[in-house]
Amino acid sequence: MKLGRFLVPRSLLSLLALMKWGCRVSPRAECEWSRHLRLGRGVTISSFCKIKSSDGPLSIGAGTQVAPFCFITSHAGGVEIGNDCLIGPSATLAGNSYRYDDLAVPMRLQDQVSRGIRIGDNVWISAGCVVLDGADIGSGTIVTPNTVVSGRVPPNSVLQGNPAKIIFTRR
Amino acid sequence: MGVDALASELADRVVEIAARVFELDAQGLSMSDSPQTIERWDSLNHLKLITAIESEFSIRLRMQTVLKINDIAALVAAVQSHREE
Repeated sequence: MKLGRFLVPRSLLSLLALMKWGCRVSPRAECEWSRHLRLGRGVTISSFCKIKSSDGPLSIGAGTQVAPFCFITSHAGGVEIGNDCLIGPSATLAGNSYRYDDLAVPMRLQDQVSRGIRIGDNVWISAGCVVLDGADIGSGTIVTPNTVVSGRVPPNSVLQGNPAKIIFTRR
Repeated sequence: MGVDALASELADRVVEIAARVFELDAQGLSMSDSPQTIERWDSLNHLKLITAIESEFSIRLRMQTVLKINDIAALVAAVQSHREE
């Protein structure tokens, strides 16, 4: 598959995704078509996104739209994005982090840990947000621009800030 | 305490909360202040204001009411009508 990334033109893969799953994946997005990747019907992945799925399960639900410049990476814990989500420009979803408990070893050489990311249905992650490993965002939530989310968020929340705080509950 | 005094006390509390949310001096706020006159009254601070009001008065406003509030006077009226229900 890794070799295929370089040999198969991206425009061909985009066409295949459109025909097979009705997904609109920009040829200018860098999407790793690994065995871990699951795209629902009608998913949109815009230009200049990086979707890294070779290290763990990554599923994006039907109708979800990923705006330009997003970075989504999965690891052992997986990244699960629900249906009808909106992921704004330059959002980052990082489903792993590094261990740092051994002062004598550079962090890049210590193990990686991955609890995974879960995002419910109809979640709006605005521009510039960062969703860290372990985040569990309930359905109907709005994450306002540049917010950093790392923990569990109840459904229908409106989040803001770093660390994210619930500023309102939709009703 | 008379009805007018109660209404005035409610208005004072609402103004105090608004001043806290918008980081302004409560003395400088009036019933006619709105997103047009308060720079910090944007869509996010609007939600923060509603959450602060709901927490202070232990009430829960309906979403339609939340979206209709366009000045301090309307906010006071919304809290008052909710308390009378």
